[in-house]
Amino acid sequence: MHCLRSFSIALTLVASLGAQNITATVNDSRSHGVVADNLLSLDEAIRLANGTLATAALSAAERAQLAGIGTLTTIEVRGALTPVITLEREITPVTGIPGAGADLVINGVQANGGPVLLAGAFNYGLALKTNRAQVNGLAIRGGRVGIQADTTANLSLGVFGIIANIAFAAQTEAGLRLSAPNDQAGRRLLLKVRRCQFPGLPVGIEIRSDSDFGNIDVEGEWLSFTACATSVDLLSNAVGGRHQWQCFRSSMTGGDYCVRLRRVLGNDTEWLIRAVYGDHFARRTVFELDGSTNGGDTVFHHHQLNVRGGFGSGDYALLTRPLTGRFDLHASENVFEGNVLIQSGRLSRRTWFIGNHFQNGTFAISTEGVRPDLQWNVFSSTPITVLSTSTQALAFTDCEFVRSPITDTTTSGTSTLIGCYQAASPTTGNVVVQTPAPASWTGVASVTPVDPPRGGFVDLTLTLQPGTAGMWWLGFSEPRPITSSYPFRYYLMTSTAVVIPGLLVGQSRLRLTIPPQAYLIGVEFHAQPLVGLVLGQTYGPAVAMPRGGRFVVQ
Amino acid sequence: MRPAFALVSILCASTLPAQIIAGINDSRSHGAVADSLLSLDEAIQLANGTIQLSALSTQERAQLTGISGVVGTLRINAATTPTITLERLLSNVVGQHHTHVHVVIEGISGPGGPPVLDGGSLPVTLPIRMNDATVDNLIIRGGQVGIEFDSTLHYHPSEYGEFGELRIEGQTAAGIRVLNPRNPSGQQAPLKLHAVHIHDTPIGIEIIDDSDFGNVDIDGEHVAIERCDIGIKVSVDSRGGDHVLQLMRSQVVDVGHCIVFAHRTPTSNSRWRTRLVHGVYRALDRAFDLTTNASATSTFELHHLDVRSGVASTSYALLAGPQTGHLSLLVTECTLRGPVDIAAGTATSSMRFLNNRCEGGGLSLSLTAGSGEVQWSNFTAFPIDVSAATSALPAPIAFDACEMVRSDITDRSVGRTTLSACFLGASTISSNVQNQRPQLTPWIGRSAVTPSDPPLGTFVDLSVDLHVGTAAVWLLGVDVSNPITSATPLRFYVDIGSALILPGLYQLTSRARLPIPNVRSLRGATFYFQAVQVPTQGQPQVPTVYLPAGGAIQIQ
Repeated sequence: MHCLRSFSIALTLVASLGAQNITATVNDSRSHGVVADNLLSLDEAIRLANGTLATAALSAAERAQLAGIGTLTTIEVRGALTPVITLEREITPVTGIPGAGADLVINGVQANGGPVLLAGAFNYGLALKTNRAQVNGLAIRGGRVGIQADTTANLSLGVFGIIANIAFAAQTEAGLRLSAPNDQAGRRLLLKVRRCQFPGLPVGIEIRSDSDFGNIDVEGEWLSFTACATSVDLLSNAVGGRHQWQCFRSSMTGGDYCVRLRRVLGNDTEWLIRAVYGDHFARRTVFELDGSTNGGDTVFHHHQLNVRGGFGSGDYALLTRPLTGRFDLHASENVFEGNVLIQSGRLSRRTWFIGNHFQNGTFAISTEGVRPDLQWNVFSSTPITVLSTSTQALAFTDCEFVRSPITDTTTSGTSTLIGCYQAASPTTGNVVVQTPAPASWTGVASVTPVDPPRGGFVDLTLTLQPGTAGMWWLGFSEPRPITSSYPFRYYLMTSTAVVIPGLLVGQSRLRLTIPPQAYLIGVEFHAQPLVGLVLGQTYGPAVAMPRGGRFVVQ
Repeated sequence: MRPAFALVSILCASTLPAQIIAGINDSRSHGAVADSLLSLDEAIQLANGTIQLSALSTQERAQLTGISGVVGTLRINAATTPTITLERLLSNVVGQHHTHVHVVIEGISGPGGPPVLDGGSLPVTLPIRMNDATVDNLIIRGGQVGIEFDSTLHYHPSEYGEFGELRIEGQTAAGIRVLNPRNPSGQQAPLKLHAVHIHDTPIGIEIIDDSDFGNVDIDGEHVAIERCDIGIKVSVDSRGGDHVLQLMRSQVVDVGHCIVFAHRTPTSNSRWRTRLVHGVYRALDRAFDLTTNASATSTFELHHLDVRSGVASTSYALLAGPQTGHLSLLVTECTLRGPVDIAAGTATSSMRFLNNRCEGGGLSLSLTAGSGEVQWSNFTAFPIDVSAATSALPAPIAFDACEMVRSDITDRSVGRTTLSACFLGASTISSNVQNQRPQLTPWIGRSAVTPSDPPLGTFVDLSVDLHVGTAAVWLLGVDVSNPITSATPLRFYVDIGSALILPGLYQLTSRARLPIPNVRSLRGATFYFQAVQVPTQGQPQVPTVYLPAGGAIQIQ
């Protein structure tokens, strides 16, 4: 009985103290202020969390800004209370909670247009030197870099730092600079970036590999890059190591370059770059990828993208280089507008392009590695050139060429069209054409809008060729679709999918009403057309899955 | 004053026949006169005055309502007569010459929709031989021709035949055939179409104009033609006269050719004007196949269209010629996908190509006389070829403030091509092309308005895709049903008097979502959204105001 009473008293006490762990609420509009004055500053809170400033050093007024018991794990900046924090000098880097037992969360609570961190001309707005940190809900203006992140102070394996809901603006070098620095070998970086905006910056996200045998693993999702000179700049400077940059559901528009991988001469680091879902429009080149000539792989997976390159003769929707670079290229369900130049050297493992639409550009390829798979692609007003440096046999299987002549400039001719449909698309004499298809069979689908409000609607539009019919399949969207499967890739969870009644031909549109239920907010669906041949054609696949589309209920 | 007014009213009324509504309840087209059911053919004959009311049985007379006079309205209620099957050819719908009666054949929808008039394999399902007739809310199925229209047997000045809310399907020759025969001289064929949907026939609308000094005047709105070999075929062998085909807010899709127009003989000297505004024209082969001649002007005005050709080497988005033809071509605010080949050769020929977007095709120009002007147009993967024959052109073809992206310009003439303030992106020009004030950056933005048919309480998305150094605001106003498309350099598809500027300045790739209020009175209202692009950096080469093609919506 006594025990029970003590327990209930303890519970009451804990409840009266607030939450487990301590939340520091910043109320000083100066970044540093003065320790033991009346206001708790952001720098003081970070130092408290880092363990470099004792709570005892604070004034009573500052201590009143701490709520809870135990470890300081959350720093809260409320827009209603502290809409703007101006940096007086460089803010103390976040090194993490001593012992790294938990993440330090710096959380902005938005109100009054804030909270805004004004970094002026300082080196950075915030610096993270640990992956046990989360930054959320801030606007960071100015600074050479908005947030600078590495793990030089503290690395916890298996944990990803998180940077989310940050609006970067007016940085003079980059919004986000992530690095494995060269102070020692084997540096790692583990980070996820979510729902951030990067408008008009020289570089949106810069990822630097300067540590020999380092390992960088960064994943972005729901990112918006607008008019950045370069949206994502991957700088590969160190020896060895494996890095990856994956990006989902993001848009990069209005800038010069979307994603660049730049290697110093002789660099042999392995890189995986993956982009799934999104719009990538560049004024110059969308994907510009340097391959390693020293044996390191450059793996590039890209699926369900809209890609539009610039207007110059040196601008590309996709560019891989140099001729001798080692690549593993894997692309499906993309729409490319602009020039595509694929160069892959002798050690390249894969050149796999399936179910893409190339339009209003050029497609040039030189390959010396494993024989490429080029299947079910449509080339429209996109002349194809097999470059004279290409040595590997090249087969286009079940592809369609519309006003897209095929020119093989190799000496002996390396190109074969198998089961392809050619419309106003002649070939040079050294291209072998086998079992040409007499008609087109590919369908085109669209799903609009991508963000219908509940109670609204989504339009599923399908344009099919004569002799084909289709239906729609609707299910929950697959967050991380398996894009390596063949022949079909499923961007919806098939276990949740239902077939929408109705067999469609020609040009058709289905309007789906979104129920008004609140629980649908944020749910992502994917609508996938299924198209079949209905006249017993002997060309084209019996069943095809043209690129569908996802939508998220608002 | 009041007695005088009453007297005049009575006098006026007495000069006009009161009209009778004939309720057709016979599922046979003809039946038998004086049986128990009133058939469509009997009603037509009543309207024509070729049988008298007294010839009907009591039950048939019971199907007539209204005060005594002539039969003016022929009503088919699908609830009682869902289908009328033609036993033989129907009597021509002519009306009565000495009574000014507008003959209306109208369907009342039943549980299964509008009533069906099934013509089987007969030459014509519904022959209308007068211009003062309306056909409304029917499904015309079968027959070699669905409706054949002319005014050979009865013409009323100033009146238009009206076909509205019709579905015409399954004919073996043409959905609607409009005839304007040669004899007697001066034949007229005035016709208005509204919400007519024609599908699965070899030809959607066939117009055969052989008249001497006659007029064909066809005005259509919300016409949809699908799954035909030819959407609209115009065969012209007429002499003299002015003829017009206008279509607004219409679509011709999933067809072999959208519009095939031919001045069939060199001596046919009638002036023909074809004007299309707001529409979607997508062909499996040629979207517009326009054959002109040297004897008369063939005018084609294409405005605010989405045009797409097929993919064969013989497919065209727009093919106009021959070289000797007299062509007046004005294309504005169109998106053209597929080759465009324009040839003309008379001194008053003109080719004006303003504010268009051309993608994935090519432009071939062969003008030996007349003039050519291209302004504010974007060519992407759309090489431009000027033929050697163009050497005879008095003034060069002027490309003003255009953008060529991966679109080489080859001038095979003696140098009859001039570029002025154009942007060339990965586009070479032959050495004889004069390139004045070349620009280093593009500026022509684009916009989109989706969907075009938002329901009440939902939304419409306004998207712009602009170049750096430009910005746009949105204008919202009432859609102009018949915009002035001859204006230059700006054409307004929105009623400026009613237009509002929506808050917000947009740059680069951006979107605004506009909610549609859930107010019933808005249902059916049409609006037009116009992006207004301006330069933000004072660039001299960028027009102070530029209007990319916007979009119309009709609220559901």
